[in-house]
Amino acid sequence: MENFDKKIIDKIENDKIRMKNKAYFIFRSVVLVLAIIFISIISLFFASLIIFTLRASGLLLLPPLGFRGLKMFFFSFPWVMAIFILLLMFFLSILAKKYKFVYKKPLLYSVLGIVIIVLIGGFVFARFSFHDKIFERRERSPIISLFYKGKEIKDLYIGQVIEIGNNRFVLQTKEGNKLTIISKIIVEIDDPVVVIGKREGDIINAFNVRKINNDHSLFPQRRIEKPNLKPINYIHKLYVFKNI
Amino acid sequence: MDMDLSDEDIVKLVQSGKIEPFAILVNRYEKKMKRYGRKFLSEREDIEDIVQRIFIKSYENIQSFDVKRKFSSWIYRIAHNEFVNELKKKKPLRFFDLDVIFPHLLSYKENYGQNIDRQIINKHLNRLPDNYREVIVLRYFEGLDYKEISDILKIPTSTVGVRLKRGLNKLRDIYGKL
Repeated sequence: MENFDKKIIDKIENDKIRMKNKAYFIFRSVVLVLAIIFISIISLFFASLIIFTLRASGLLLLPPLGFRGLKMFFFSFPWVMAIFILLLMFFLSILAKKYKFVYKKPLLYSVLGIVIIVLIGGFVFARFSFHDKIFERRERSPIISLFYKGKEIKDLYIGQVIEIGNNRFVLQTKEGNKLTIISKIIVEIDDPVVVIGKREGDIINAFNVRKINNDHSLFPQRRIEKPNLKPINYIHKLYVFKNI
Repeated sequence: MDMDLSDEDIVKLVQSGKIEPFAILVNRYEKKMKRYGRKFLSEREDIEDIVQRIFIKSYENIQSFDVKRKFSSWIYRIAHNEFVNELKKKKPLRFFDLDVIFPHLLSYKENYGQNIDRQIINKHLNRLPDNYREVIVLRYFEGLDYKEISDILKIPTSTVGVRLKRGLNKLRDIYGKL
């Protein structure tokens, strides 16, 4: 019987089997690292876009408004984007599994680590006016406008109190609309507020009203507003978004 | 050729373009690969062809091997991938393995099951699920330590320990005498 080692050497020589070049493996490793970096950046971008969307659309103001607020928050949350990020992170953990520091720990730790990094990175990213600038230029590119497209959140009104009456007050929205809010909740002139309620013409039967800070973001942006503006202008960048 | 050269020194020679030293590596690992394959794939007739493929792949990819690492872990990794591909042809393997995803609460010892009877294990090995069978083969028939098995299967060392423990417990259930 022919020796197995001779058989292998003969096969290599007869079939002209060649060793793959070292450069090929270096190239493959570089591509892998670049893919990991690229996916990480895309994940960070979308995580910060979710945070921006929550802040800019006023969605973040909803959870403290009770069950109705939570329900509206849940149904208006950009779930597609969130699931897309989870898929990216899962893909990232598979790519990174080649590395010892990843496979030596249970996959849950790697995924949690990536989630924490993406969330922290997303918050940090969202602190800067990066998304505001893109939002302002969204009309120039159809791809960008796809992600930054706005849609009103039903039954949610954000603005400033300009008149107070008996069990009612007048709210001026950022678009300049004046809405009469029927509510027993006590507010003061110039208060920025968020209202959930059913609209009939210019009258809103409020389910809940809550005072908000001028800057209601989770992490206030570094951008400094002009000091001579009236408070209403501090409820800035109150964009509404379509769920994508 | 100096037969006392380490695997890694021989790989250096192969990487420099010499083909003959590769025969020494084949010679050193032929029996191990065939034994690993026979036990993991449950006595299949085409083991020789699969092992041949393993050596050809090793030769093709030998430039990717870092000589500072252990050659045995590297070639066992190639063998593992090849055997798993063979298993996949017969039946789909589980995509999600909870053993790898979650940390383990179950404790294990590095020398767990040292006094077990290999003949009994051998007799009932093919009745074990693939993931338990493979760690038992690598540990008790190939004599590899937990770290090496972890590097070959690319799973946490704790998962190796837990799979061994569970695999042996399953064998105990099957045989009742281990």
